[in-house]
Amino acid sequence: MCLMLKRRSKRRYVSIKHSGQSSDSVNAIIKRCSELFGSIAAERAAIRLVQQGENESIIKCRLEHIENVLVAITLIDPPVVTTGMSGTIKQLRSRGSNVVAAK
Amino acid sequence: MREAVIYRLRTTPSRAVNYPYLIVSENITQPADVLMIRDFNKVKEQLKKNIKRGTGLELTVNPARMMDGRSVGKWFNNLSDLYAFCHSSRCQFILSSGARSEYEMISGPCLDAILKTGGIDPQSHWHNMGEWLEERLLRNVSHA
Repeated sequence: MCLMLKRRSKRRYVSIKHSGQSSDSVNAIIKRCSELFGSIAAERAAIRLVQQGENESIIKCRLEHIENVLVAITLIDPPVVTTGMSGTIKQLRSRGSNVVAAK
Repeated sequence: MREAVIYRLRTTPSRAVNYPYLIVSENITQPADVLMIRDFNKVKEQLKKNIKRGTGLELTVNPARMMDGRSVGKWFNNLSDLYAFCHSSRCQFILSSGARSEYEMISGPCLDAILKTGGIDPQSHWHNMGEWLEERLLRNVSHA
């Protein structure tokens, strides 16, 4: 008998700093991702808003598409800054305002 | 490197200074540590004639935010071409944010993702960049 294991895909949680509404920023990221890498890749990336704040929010996406998502985040207008990234939301929250070194 | 901030100056300071700096210019014919490149294809031939070995050629990410998908594709092509040109002419490829506000700053992982998408190995790029910076800053050292 052949057993198929159903594994949940790994995710990355990314905290972003934005000037406007968090939902607008996430929509802009999804739109840019689909524009640059195609609708299928954007859908597979499964970009979702997890936690929204006034200036800082947390989004999640599939680990295998993190590079495309980071490129999309970098190339949107109005600009958004990535301030942290983690495999678990708990760890990302515990880091608080620890900002990823920006260049 | 001891200092965390490197100043970008347009001209060489007339007096001795106690901070690290690089001379940055948009004019390709002008001698500088870093030349800012807006459209590589337009200045390629001019660069071939005038470029000095060891000069930094800088491409900024900021203009790509305003571009549509097709233009971003061309921008990535430009990035790869400029990197190949830097490699062959022994210049240093520099990718920077071109940020004017805190929201326009770009995190390390995002710059790495852009480099990878452009077909550049981030690890070797940052290694070469570090070596180039140290060497350039040693040249520009002057103490007040």
